[in-house]
Amino acid sequence: MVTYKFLFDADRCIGCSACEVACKIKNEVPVGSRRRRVVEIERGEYPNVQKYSVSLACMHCTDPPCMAACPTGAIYKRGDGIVLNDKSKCIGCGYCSWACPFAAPQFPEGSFKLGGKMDKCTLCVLPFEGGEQKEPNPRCADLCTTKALHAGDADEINEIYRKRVAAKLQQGIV
Amino acid sequence: MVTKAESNFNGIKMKRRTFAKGIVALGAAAAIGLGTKRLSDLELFETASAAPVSETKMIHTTCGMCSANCAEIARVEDGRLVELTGNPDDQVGGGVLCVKGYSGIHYLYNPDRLKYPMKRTNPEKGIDVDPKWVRISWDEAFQITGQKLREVYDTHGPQAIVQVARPKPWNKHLSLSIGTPNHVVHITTCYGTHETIWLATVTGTGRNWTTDYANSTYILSFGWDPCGKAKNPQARPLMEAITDGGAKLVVLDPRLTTTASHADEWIPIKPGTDLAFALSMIYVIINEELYDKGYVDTYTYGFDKLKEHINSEGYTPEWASGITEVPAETIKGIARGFATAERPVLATHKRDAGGPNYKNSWRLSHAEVILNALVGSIDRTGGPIIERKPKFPGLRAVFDFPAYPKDIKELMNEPRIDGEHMFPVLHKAAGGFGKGIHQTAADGILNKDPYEVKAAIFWKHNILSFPKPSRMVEALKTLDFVVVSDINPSELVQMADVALPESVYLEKSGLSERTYFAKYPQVSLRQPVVKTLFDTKGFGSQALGILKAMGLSEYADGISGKKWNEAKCEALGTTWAELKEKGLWDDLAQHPFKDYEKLETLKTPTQKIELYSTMFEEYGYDPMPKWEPKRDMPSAEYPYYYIITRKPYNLMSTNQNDPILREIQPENTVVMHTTTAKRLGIHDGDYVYVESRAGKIRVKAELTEGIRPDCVCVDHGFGHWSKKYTVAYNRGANDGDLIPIRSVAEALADGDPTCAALMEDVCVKVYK
Repeated sequence: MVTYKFLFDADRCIGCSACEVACKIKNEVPVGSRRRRVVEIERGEYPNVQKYSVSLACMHCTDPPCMAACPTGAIYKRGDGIVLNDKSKCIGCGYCSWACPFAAPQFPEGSFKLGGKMDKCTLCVLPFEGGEQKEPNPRCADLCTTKALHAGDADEINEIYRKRVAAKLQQGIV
Repeated sequence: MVTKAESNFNGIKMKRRTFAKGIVALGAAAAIGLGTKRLSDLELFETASAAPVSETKMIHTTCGMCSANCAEIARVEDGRLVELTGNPDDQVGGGVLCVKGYSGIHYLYNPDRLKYPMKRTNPEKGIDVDPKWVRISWDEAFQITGQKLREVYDTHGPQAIVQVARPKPWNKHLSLSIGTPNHVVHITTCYGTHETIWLATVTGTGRNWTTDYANSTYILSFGWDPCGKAKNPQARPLMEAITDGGAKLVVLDPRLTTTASHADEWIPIKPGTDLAFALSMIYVIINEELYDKGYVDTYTYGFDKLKEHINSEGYTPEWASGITEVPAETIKGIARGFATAERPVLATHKRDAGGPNYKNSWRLSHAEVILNALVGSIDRTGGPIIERKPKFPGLRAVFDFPAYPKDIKELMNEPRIDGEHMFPVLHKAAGGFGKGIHQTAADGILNKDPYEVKAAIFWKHNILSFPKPSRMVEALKTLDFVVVSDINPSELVQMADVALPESVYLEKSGLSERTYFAKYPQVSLRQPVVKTLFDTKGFGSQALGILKAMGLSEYADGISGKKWNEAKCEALGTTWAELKEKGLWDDLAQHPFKDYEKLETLKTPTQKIELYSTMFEEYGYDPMPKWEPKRDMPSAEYPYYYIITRKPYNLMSTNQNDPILREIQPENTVVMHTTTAKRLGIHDGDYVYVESRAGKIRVKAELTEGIRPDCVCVDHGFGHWSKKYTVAYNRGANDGDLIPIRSVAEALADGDPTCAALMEDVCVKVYK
């Protein structure tokens, strides 16, 4: 059985947000829900400053804290690892957004008593409007200009990770 | 300040049919905050249906968001464009696009686009003045335009008509058919500096655009930030080179740009002192004999003069250290590392430190050519490469039309409204038809110097691209007639008498020669991926229509873009029909890349790379780079260096009307150091004034550690005052308002062959 996974390589990310745009287009996501977005992290003091970008979205965790926090069982994990939210069961309480370390859950119609549904990355299985689940086809990863973001079968992803680490070892970086 | 558009962003869900009805009802005056919503909502003329897709087409075409022109594949479902992806066989794009390219769908379907020709009914013109547009037919649009231009042509002469447009074939044909020398391009605010220097010292024609980052082992950058601009043909291979490839990256920049953040070494160079750094690098490389002797002997001219000059002027690392505040040992380390690397490259592009930024930038550009030549990188694997391009038949080879009223050489000798004829080397650019000086055109018009201009034709430019744009607004008010061809309802359109709506590249046809990355001849086809959405035309058709309406139909009859494209395909040995299916044509088998091949046919006066420029000497400019400081230095009144940039999602000032991009970046900011802000009592997110001797703007502050404390940086693309931009209107501020106009007189006095606009050579004060 295939297991889906994301891999994000901060060494390659140029913080351009192509991933965010690709996701919006593919899944017809409205303004208000940012399933994937880029955040910039800065450390240090001038002139010894490090700055890097992180493309952040649901990581489809092995043991999803959002699923544990969800009071209605709306959030569930498929056999292939993809974590989805059943909007028909979602009451918009917002507990998942407190539990998620990646701030993945989005509430374009409000949450916390406003009753809006939680929306998040579905590995391109479900667009914003819902409907029939499609084959996973993560566009953010396919379209990434610098190949910083990868998504797909865990075995393939692990192989990419191994190769990149090996390259760094060869260069004496790691 | 939260605009109405912003307040609609969170939460209002609009069903697609309602939205479409709304837009049709409100027409051009739509003020619904385009808090839009879904891509499908942007689709106006085809009501989307919930039924499954019955027909999917994958169509080859070419991106048009920037000049890189990455080849792309459009996924079209039932006539609707739903996705754009790259073409893996394309040298330029390498199988992907950039954030702007992917957002091209929004550019196509943006409801605020110009939809039909319009004429102005309000005679008053100015910022915030409503033109009171009235829809007209193309026939009427051409009739009015032709008549007005002809009046000016007959009464005042062809030179009284100025065209502000890129030097593309249709635009050149238009200017040459009219017989006006006044074809003004933006190059002095963009690539004019490197273009002029490369013309004089390397190619004899213009600059190259290809840098073979993927094969470089040491990449040095003076202020060039390909990653921060998401420049696909550069950022992608650069990132590959420094990660998998193990290449070293060293960046000199006053700000910790995205590229600098990935560098092995970031040198926060003092603005305008890169020249001293470069000169002392030349000193080290020559005196420690680290240069490529074979290459220098075979392909360059003037080494001995350069060596004598560098030594007699004393451009030592210790000297440079005093000016740059970088330790001499650091300079030496970089010089040695760069010169002894296996395949080093000093990467430049358009608006890096050697671009039209500082008074001394043109000298830096020459020093950068010299550094690349000393290490033997020009036209070799891993270095800056001179493009291998196919030869296309020109317009005259394909169509029969009379000689132009004036020969190009004749026109070149005529005085121009922007003063470019006084800069003989810049004047040679564009293969003989000058490219113009962007920042001086407004003053030329206002001062009627050297004569009166009465009419203007604009294509693919905006007022916000001019330094001190209010000056161009004043200049336009004095003209009898202004016609603007544009896709979007820009500020420039609001100053026009007639607006000609242009089709988006996704609706057009053409052929692209992979100028931005051409190690071997390759061509990418562009074809419409959807039916033209509105009543628009491509500029080629518009130019021909204008010529006919002006009574110059001998330069338009029988000419068509379609026939020209077909003739170009024939020249390649293929057909338009065949190329439509494949998307890309190449000649790799006949022309595999060979190092140094293009160095055999250089057209400089010595036919070599000129470390000592005989052309500059001939025209009275310094033949070798000499130290001089930048023009404006910090003072008590204006204590901070002003630097500018552009975020990767912004296509100059043209695509800010995209709500998805505005969700990512609601408005631009002034980036400053945390200690600078603290001293000024400024917190992150405060609105502050930034003021120079040229103007003042109010913009949001963004604090960081990643910038010199004596610098502040504003990004370009904002400050839109056209109310027709329902999403972009009134967000942020325009960086260009602070840039003083660098006049012809000043550039002549400075001995600057490029008449650069000096985009960053001003200082500012910041206050709440």
